[in-house]
Amino acid sequence: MSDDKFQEAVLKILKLTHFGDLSWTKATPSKKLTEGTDSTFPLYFEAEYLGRKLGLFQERRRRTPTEVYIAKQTVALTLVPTDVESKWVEIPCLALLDDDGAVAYSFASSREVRDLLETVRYRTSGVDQFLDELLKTEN
Amino acid sequence: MLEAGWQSFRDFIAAYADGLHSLAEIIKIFGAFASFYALLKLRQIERKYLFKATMPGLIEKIDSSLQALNEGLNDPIRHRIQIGTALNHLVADLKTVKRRMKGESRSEVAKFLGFMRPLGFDPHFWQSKRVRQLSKDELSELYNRGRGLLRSLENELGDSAWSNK
Repeated sequence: MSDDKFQEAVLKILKLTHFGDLSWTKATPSKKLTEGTDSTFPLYFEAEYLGRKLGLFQERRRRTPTEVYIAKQTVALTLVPTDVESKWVEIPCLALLDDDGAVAYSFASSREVRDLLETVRYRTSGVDQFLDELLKTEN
Repeated sequence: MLEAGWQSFRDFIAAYADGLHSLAEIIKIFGAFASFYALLKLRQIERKYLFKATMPGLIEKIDSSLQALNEGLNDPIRHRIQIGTALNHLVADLKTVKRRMKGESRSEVAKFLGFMRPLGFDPHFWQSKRVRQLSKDELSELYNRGRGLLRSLENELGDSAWSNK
């Protein structure tokens, strides 16, 4: 399957989320995802669409030496300032889950997945209602 | 000996004066073309290095605008100022990209700008200069097209990294 098809799928999921046709709920990641790894999952959401379960999460883990090397090379090549010295990296992930919560397929991490995670985070946080109520109060 | 040599040289010049004059003219014309070609080549190299040096920063700026647009899509009415700013920044950055690019990506950028013109961004003189309130569908379409465009710009930058000529 081409990269474009995956990108298109992520964009469609993002659009469905924006238009309220796909709702995400905060959940606890399954042990199949968290066990046997040093990664932590500070954000984890699930949604159901077309009879399949989707997982959207942020994986926080230590950078491997290879990743640090690649990051340094990228900075040298593109001149874009990046925090290459940071030992930790946060990766947004979108995955198709099995019934038991195991990752059946993981989409490649991309800017679109990052935006999807930000959108879901915003929509589930209820920040809009909070701000409305805060601004309505007189004191 | 020296005098004889000098004399034969002068005889040679006198005998072939017309031919030598034409040869000198040909060399001058060839030299002018060579200078012009070198100038074009230098311009190409400059453009290429300018592209490599500035495109990563522009890609990050376009990405920031698209991120802001995505955030605004959560509630377009509430975030209309943020959306307006993001779209104006997007148009400005894309016009810069268009100036510095050639080929397929340039036409992609031109298409994207062409899509934005009827909405009131950088319009032609016969198009409305007022940016109307964009619907969520239109904003979503802009976001999707922008993401596609960003990917093709990244690919082009990746391609250029392979060549240092």
